[in-house]
This record gives sequence, C-alpha cells and structure tokens, in this order.
Amino acid sequence: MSSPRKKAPKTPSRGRTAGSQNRVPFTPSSLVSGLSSLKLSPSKPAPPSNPFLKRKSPQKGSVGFAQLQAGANRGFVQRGGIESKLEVVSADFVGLKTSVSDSLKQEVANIPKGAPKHGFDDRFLPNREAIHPGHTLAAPASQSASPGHTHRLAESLGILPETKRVLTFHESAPAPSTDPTLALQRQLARPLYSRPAGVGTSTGAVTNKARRIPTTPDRVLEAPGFVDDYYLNLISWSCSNELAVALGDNIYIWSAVQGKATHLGTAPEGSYISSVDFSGDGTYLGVGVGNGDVEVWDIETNTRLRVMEGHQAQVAAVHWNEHLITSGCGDGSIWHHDVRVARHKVMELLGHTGEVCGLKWRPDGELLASGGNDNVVNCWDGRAGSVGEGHRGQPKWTKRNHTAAVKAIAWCPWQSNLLASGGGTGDATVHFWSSTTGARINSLQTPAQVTSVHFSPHSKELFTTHGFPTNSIMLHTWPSFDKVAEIRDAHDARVLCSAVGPAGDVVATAAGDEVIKLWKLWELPSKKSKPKSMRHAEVVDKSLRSIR
Amino acid sequence: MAEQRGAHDISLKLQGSIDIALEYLRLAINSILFHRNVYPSEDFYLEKRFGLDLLLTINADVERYINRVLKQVKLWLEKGEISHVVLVIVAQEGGAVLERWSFDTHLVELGSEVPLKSEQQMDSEMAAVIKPILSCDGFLPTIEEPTVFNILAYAREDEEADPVPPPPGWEDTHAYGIEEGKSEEVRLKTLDTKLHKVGIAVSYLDS
Repeated sequence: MSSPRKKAPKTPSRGRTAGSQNRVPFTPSSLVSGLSSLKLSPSKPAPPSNPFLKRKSPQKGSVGFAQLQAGANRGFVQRGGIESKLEVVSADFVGLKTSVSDSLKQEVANIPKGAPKHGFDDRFLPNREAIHPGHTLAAPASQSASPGHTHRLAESLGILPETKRVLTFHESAPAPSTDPTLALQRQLARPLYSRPAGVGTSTGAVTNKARRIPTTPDRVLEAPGFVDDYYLNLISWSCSNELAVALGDNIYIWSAVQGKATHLGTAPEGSYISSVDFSGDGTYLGVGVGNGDVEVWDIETNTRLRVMEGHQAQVAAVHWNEHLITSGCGDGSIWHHDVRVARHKVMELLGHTGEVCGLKWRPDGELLASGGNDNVVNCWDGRAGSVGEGHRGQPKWTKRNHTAAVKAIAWCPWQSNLLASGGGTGDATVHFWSSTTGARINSLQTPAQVTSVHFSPHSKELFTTHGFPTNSIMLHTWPSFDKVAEIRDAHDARVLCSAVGPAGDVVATAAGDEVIKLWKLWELPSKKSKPKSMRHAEVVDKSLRSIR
Repeated sequence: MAEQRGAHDISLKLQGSIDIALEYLRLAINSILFHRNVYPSEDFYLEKRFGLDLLLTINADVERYINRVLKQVKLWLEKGEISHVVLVIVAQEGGAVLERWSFDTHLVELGSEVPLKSEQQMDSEMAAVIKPILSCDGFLPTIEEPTVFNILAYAREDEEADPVPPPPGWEDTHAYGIEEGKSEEVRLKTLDTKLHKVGIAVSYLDS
C-alpha cells in the first residue's frame, strides 16, 4: 500500500507526486496502488482514466490502450473497436466501492485536479499529465490553491473535470465531398490569366420543388463488358430511337421502341471498339476502333460497309456531319473522312498534342469543336475537302483554360454560337464559349470530373455527368446555373458517357459499373409544330451549303 | 388550472429555448468546420442570418451526421443529462488533438414567470455569440494538415448511480484532451436564452 509512495520519488515524475500524495491520505490510495500496478505500456499516453472508475480488466488494459491509441491516431473512435474505459466501479473493486463511494463524493470535489493523477505518476506512465483534457491549471493549482478553489476556477473556465463521463457518436465524421488536394491541384494548374469561375448554386437544395426530378432511373440496362475508360465515347442514340453501345469488342443496338438488343458486329481481331456515333439519319453507324480504323456499318442490314484505315492510334471520338465522318485519334490528329469516295481522308486537322477525346460538330455543320487530353479546346472551320487531300487546317480559336482533359463538348441548340466544354478531374469546370468571337462567356464549377455535357433541347437547362469523385449527374438552369437537380452516385462507378434521346426527354448514362441507366428528366412540350419548322430550316441550310 | 397552464407554458418555453440552443450549436459547429478548415471551402454555402455571413455545409453527409448528433443532444438537453458538448478537431495523421471547442450547457432554474427574450432580442443575442467564433481566426493557430472532427458529450451523471447504457449509436470514450502543458484556453461569449445558458470555450494546441 505504501509502495507507490516509496517508488514515487524515484520515478521521473514532475516532483509533485510526493507532495500531493501526502495531502491525500485516505483509502483510495489502496485503490490507487492497485490500479497503478496495472500493466500499461509506458510509451503510450493513456486516456484520462478516472481512478475511481473501473477499467474493464487489468490484463486487457494494455491492449485496450493500444487500440485506443490506434483509434486516436486515426483520428476517430470506432464503434466496438475500443473497449469502454470509463465505467462505474463494479465487481473487481466491489470491496472498495461501498467504502469509497461516500467518501469519494466529497473527496472528488476536494481533490486538487492533479492529485489522483499524480498518484499514478509512476515509472510506467511518466507523463500522465498528457491525458488531461486541456488543463493548464491543474499542476500549479494543486500546489498553490485550495482544492475547492481550483475546482470552481476550473469549472468557471470550462475546464472539464475528468470525473465526467464522456460519450461520443459511434460513427466518424464523413470525409469532405471535395478532395482538398484536388482543389489545390486545380488552383495551381489554373492559368494565370483566367478569372475565377462564377459559382451558381445559391442554396443547398438538391431538387427544384416545383419539378419532380426522378432520383431513380426510368430503365436500367445491363452492359457487361463496358470499358471503364474516361477517354472513350461508347454510346450513341440515333434519331430513330436506337441506342448503340460498344461493349469491349462488340457492338449492340438496343431498340428503345421494342426494348430488345441485337448484336451488330465485332471489332477486328485483337482490337476493341473505342467510339461509336450514329449518322444524322440513323441508318449508318460510325465506329472507331482501337487499332485506328474507322468503320461504317449499315444498321438495317447489320453489315460493315467500309473500313477506313490510316490512323496510328485508337480512335476515341467520331462524329458525323452528313457524309463526312470526323475521327479524333490518340495521337491528337483529327481526320475528316468522306464516306462516299474511295480516298476517304479528305482533311487532316492537327491541333492537339494529346489524345482527342471530345469531338462535336455544330448541328449546321459550320464548325467543329474538339477537346483533348492536352486540356485544349479547339474550334475548327467546318469546310473540308474542297482544298483537296493533304491540306491541313488551322483552328479558328484555341482555348487552354481547362486544367484537365476535355471530353465533354456540346453545342447549344437554341443559341448556335454557344459552345460548352467540360474538364476532367483536375478541372471539373464547364466553360462556355462564343464560337464567333472565341470569348469565354461563363463558367460553372462542379464538384467532380465532367464526363459529358448536354444542353436540354426543350428547357433552357444544362445536363452534366460526372465521374470522380461523386459519380453524379446534374441538371443546371441556363444561364443562372441554379442547381435544378443533383443525383449523387447515379452509378456505382464514374458516369462516363451519356446520350440524349431523340425526343429530348430521356437521357442514357453509361458507367464503369457495366450498367446503362435511362433517366426521364424533362417533359415534352405539348406543341409539336416547332420541331417540324426547325427541320425545315435545316433542310434549307443544307441545300445552301452544297452550292459552294 | 393556472399552474398547469403555467407548467405547460414553461415546457413550451423550454422547448423553444432548447431549439434556440441547438440552432446555435448547429451554426457554431458549421462555422467552426469552415473556419478551421476541417472541410474545404467548396463544401460550404453562404447564408446571411442575424446580419452575419454564415457558412453552412453543402456536404449532405456532414449535414446528416451533425443532425443525428444534435438530435441526440436535444434529447439529452430536454432531460438535462449532459453538461458539455465538445467539438474536437483531431489531426488525421497522428491523431493529435488540435482544438477543443467546448459548449457547456446550464439550465437556469425555472420560475413560473420567466419572460423569455423576444425574437428580436434572440436574434441579436445569436449574432453576438456567433461573431466571436467567426473572429477566432485572429488568434487560433492555422491548421495546415488535414483534420477530422468528433463531437463528444459530457454526461451530467451522479457518481453514485450505475451508468445508463449509452443511447444507440453512442459509446464511451476518452476525453480527447490536448497535450498537457501545450494548451491555451479562451472563453467566448455565452448564449443566454433566460432558460438555458450555453457557454463556449476554445482550447487549442499551442506549439
């Protein structure tokens, strides 16, 4: 019983041990000695154990502390992972409880903050003060002030006595939704001349109250073998309501009307499909292959009509413009192929030093926008072929504002000179450009990698799909960028590709989780006259152009 | 009859007072998470209240987490079972406790005729107590490393009584004390709703 007192002066304690011990001559010292003989690893600071509360078991004490330390090192307390340390005295010290409890109640108030702890200051735990919850007064107060004063002072300052029982929520706090290192990376990579983007979200609301946006897809299609590659463009929806999906080296056509999928064909031996795009009338499918070929398939007969070779790397993006199919290659080159003539390569556009992953013609065929892995957005004049094969074009304008690969490209249907481009993980911003002047009109900061962008044809809204880290799909108003809806974790993996249906009310999203989901996000307008007049205008445009 | 109604009035006032205290806690926690950089600034949106710019979290997970914690805190406050709510900020690497924001709650003795403050008064009271939190950046050391937060509750329990098992989802833990000798403590303004007093003190690791 007196052994701790004998040992105390020898131990590397702070010297108050002896004094405070002397001031507290009562039965708990036996308790003190009993507990101090617990095997505790000296190197680890113990939690603020209340001497009057029992530890679960002496033997387990050290293991428990190790777990606790590990838990504290991870910065949180896990449910069930840590043995409870603070419990009222029970079985092990039952003899002491009854005798101690009454005197304890008074003594607790009277003990100077440091005393019980110093009773524990032995050779096992030289620095038990480390476990005090934020006390600075504890040590000096025990010497100079009276115990009651110290307690009152501590209470008034909000210093919490160790006698209190502490509870915490079993779950750890969630991680930030945005990765701070990513945000930092984006900030550092942002070019000096760019101004910070305007953020549109004014409230935390996820959906507009007036409009019910479904948070579950209308339909889910299995897409086994869907390649989880950000750079590929593997789905396309034709105007005759057929969805082409490339799964590995196979191409399937899913008919939305019938709800059935048919196998169209496979890639050449040893290669894979890297992009698909339906022609404007939906009868032909342009296919980019991993070995650099561009193929043309006939949908009605399910046959491959043409193979156009020449590219040196995978063709990750293809887009039709009437009789031209434009292909973007892994080496950064963009070729126009005229599918009607034998010498199909009619133009080469060199404007990218990285893989071309985004490629979109303006619907009227005047301009072509391309985005690449070199973070560059190029806008090209659409005239091609008239200057003969071998002629290389220059972009109308080039933008380097993005700080990551640009795969998402979209032309606005109601404002023909408006182009949207979205950047990858290190950027997560959608920039809006005027195609006539090349000026940046606006920008929208999003929380995640932008994998595709679409302007909604019926309502003035912007639809974006995202990959890392939210895997979400978002709907924003244009031009105020109010968040109409955000569906986080729309897929279990990055949402890589999307295609808007021909009616303009459904959008299909495909992701690395090998599932294609169809979301009905918009309502069709009741009047049908408008689309017809638009189509008429298109026909007129085309005829005008062919005169050139 | 009048007494019953009086008691009913008081319980209403108590509820209102608790709601105010909880709202204050929620706003304080959000502000602390933003200002102490526990979560990046993109996770927050601006809301003007009480004439102040308050930053509340957009992060749905964090909001849910805080709401669940506060739901339990509300139950405890109604029964007067807890004395302190502490928000600890712990470094992700190493688990060192960097800051402790301790909110102590006191229930003022209920009299039958306790005039609560008017809404206007409460608004200005809230502004007065939240402003010091926002200005703490002035003296608190900047936190460079990624941090995690945890919320603790100190039970106001009798030493005699057997401990009640913690409510579902809560467990006993140590007090997450700041390393001894290196902590500084600053006491900020107390929120007084006439029925509750919520005081706040921040202790931080001073190196």
